[in-house]
Amino acid sequence: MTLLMLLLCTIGQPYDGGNDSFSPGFRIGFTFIGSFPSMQTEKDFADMNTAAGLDFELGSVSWGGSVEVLGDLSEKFRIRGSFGGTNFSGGYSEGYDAMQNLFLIIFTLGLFSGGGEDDVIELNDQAINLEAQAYYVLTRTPGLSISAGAGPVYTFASRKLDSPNTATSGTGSGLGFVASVRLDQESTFKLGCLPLMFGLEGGYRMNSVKISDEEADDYKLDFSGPFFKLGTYIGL
Amino acid sequence: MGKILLFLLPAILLMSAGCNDSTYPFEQVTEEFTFTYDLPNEGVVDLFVLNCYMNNIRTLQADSTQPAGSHSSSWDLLDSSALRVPDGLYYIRIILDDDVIETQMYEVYK
Repeated sequence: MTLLMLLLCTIGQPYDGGNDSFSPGFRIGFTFIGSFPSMQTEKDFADMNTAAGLDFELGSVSWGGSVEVLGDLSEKFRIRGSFGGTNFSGGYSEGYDAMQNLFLIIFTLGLFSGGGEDDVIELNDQAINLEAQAYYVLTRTPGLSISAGAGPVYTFASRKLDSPNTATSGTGSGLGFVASVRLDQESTFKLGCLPLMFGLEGGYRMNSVKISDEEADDYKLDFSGPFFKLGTYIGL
Repeated sequence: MGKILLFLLPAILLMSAGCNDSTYPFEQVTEEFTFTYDLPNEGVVDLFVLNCYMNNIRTLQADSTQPAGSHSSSWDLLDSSALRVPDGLYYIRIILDDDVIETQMYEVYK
């Protein structure tokens, strides 16, 4: 939806020119995040499960979202603060076999089907990120700006592993770094009297977190990797 | 009513069969157990127990020279500090001449 609105705004609704002079201000926005974390330890863990005879599947994309405040301090400088989270998962599941499924459909006259899967082992890694970033505006035209920036990220992470009779969890936190380039497009749409803006951001985040529980013995959850973000912002 | 039950009973049995623990490709253990492993050739064997963070929590055998063939060993669910391990997933790694030749997975719970 955000992407569609961004396209509509960029292609179908050319910026009307408005007031060309820059005016400082703050915006609040909501974003959708996709990232490609390294997660080497989880890959090794998945390999160990595979070696033990399980068809353990691990995701490659971590999905999430954030709430952000974006501030234009001057024509050339911009800051951003955000609170958001991403989720990375994997696991081993078993499906009902085809014959069993067929009989189930027949006996229940189609009311039930065993098409679903039984999640036997579920791995769930979550990261809650607090980010602060400063940007330098590379280009600013009426309605459009491109900026590049960097800043610290503090991550609270958790790892949860569930099996049929057990649940293991661990937590940790750590400081990282994020660098990115963002493209912002002012919209001709308004939310009431509030101006709307759409943002597209891509960059690289370095945030590896050690799980601090005794059992974990400094097991690392490495959320580092490239990311992209789509957001909608309203002026304050 | 009787006819409905006649239809539903096999369906319930089938659904419960779909969730049967016995199909899991790992063993569920609550107390000391014995496991077996096969060695393709004679060599130096190490047996390690790893937890779900891949940390070695117990060495069951170290630098033990064993002939080719089938062997067995046991784990009392204790870690290297002689404490019972917390519930969770554990992995026994069989290492022959510094190469991992087999990994076995166990769900340990009380």
